[in-house]
Amino acid sequence: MSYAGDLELARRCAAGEEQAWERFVLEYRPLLYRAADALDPSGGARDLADSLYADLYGLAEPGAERQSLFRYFQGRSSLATWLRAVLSQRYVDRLRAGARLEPLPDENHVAHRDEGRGTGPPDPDRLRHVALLQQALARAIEELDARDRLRLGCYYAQQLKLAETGRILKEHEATVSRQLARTRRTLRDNVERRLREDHRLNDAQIAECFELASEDPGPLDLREMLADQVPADAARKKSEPDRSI
Amino acid sequence: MKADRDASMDKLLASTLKAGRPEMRGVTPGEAHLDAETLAAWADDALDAAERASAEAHAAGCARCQQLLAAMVRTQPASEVPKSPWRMPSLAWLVPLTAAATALAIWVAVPKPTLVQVSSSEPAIDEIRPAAPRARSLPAPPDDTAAATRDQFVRPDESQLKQLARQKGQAAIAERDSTDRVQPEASVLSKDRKQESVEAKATTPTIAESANVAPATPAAGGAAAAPALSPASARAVPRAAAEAGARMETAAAPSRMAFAAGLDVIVVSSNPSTRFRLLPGGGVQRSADGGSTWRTEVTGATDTLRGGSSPSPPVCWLVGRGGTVLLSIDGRTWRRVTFPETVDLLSIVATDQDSATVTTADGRSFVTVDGGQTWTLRPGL
Repeated sequence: MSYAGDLELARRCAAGEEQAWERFVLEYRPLLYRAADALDPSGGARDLADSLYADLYGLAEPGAERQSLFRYFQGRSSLATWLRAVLSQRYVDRLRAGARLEPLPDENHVAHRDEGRGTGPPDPDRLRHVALLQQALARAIEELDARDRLRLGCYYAQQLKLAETGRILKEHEATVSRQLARTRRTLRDNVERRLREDHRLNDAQIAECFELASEDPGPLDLREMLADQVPADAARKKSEPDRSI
Repeated sequence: MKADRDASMDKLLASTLKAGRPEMRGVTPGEAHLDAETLAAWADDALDAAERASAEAHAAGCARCQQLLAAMVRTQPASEVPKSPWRMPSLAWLVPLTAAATALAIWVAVPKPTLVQVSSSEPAIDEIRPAAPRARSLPAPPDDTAAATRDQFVRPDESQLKQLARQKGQAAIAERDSTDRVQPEASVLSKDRKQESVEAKATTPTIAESANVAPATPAAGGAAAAPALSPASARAVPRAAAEAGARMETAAAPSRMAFAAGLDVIVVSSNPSTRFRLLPGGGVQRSADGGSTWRTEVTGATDTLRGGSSPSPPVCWLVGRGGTVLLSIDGRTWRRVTFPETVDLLSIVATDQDSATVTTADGRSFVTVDGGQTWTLRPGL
């Protein structure tokens, strides 16, 4: 599809043509605001739309040449889609920058969770099983092909709907659903195989792993879990016989 | 058992694959993120196969780019969401055609009632009815109907046949939709996720309705949806750009064209049942039932209104050309609020009947906290 018309409009806007700018304001300014509201229904992204609007106009320092953001538009997509992409980019970057400033969770959050349950000290087997399961799951995910990982990421990490995930992958939502089910089966098989072969867990222990993880999914962080658990696991193997064998 | 296994994996993935989890970070250090151009081309399906594969491979392991893709999808206007092929205009004709063919097939397949010849010159209608189930819903003809009328009674006329076909067509569409929405494999997904596609298809709330100011069209909304600018952003917005926005109605009068086409600016209150529709020439209509019915209000304004804000159902602020500010605190009567300048006003954001911030066409913001008795230029602008 050709976006020559959009490219021409962008070129004329970048050149500061008044008529082109009027047309842009008329056609695309509402679009920017709607996109901003879709990103943050509370209106928190409107300032991003405003600043993007200003960058598109290309404010210049006194004496300096005007540099409009339009010059980056190459016409590979519609102008409307490109504007949404730039706005989304700024929104996500701001979101991520803000997230970096958020305080880290309490380092004892796992222990607090367990305390909240009133179950006494954490069961070492439970922690170990959850860690093993997470480790096996991480490996199994790494082995998936890119498209499957992207589908998982969109659906589970970004919490998109099936239809939205399908729009990214150019798949029908029914196909997304089928592919997710297939990927889950693959992951389950791979995780079970790893637990069975690498860690010598039997069927009952594997079932317990899944049960524990399902009971308390919690804010699991593999890096954190494995850093804590795997060395402990190795030390434990040295000091006492592995009961899982 | 199989479903349990799938359900536990579903739950595990949902808890583990939170955004930014390490296992989703498969990006090589130094690898460039998707730029806006590529992202937009991806969204418009304009990448070639190699570019697409490369972009997907990156996004598969990059939490940031996945967030970007998600944001792109969320900002996609409802009008651009691809429809089911059956709903595409080019195939739309198949639906009534199929329905008509089905109706015709039924008509042919169902045996025609046998008219029992009786000695009388008139056949007994009651003897016909049991053998003609498709005629049950039709009104009984008068007893003295002639033979031609009897034939008409037994055989539905063309309009009735079309109606039947339409009903069948609609039933077929409804059935297909419900089938599409059933995701056998998704049966293990959490309840809210299972219903997602149904909800998305059934009613996609418009962004316009979620916002306080709801432009009905891009043209009309362009003026109406202009927000009160934050100090930083207001500084950033060029005056010429704002003036260009202001010229939308004064020069080419596109908004008037939009008004003329019946595409109005609608201000949605905090309670969406209450809405205000801005008409050309300062007219206002109010709806208390979510836009089903509208009642024209007398405002006294003659200048075109461009935007409004209704922080609560009875309270509504409206702004327009030439410094026009209107306020209603009962949702019915309007009073003109004095504004210090005769500048065109683009938008207003109000928090209650006393406090509001107005944005002018030249990019300045004025604030009132006393119901419009005094206005203060927002400092730093």
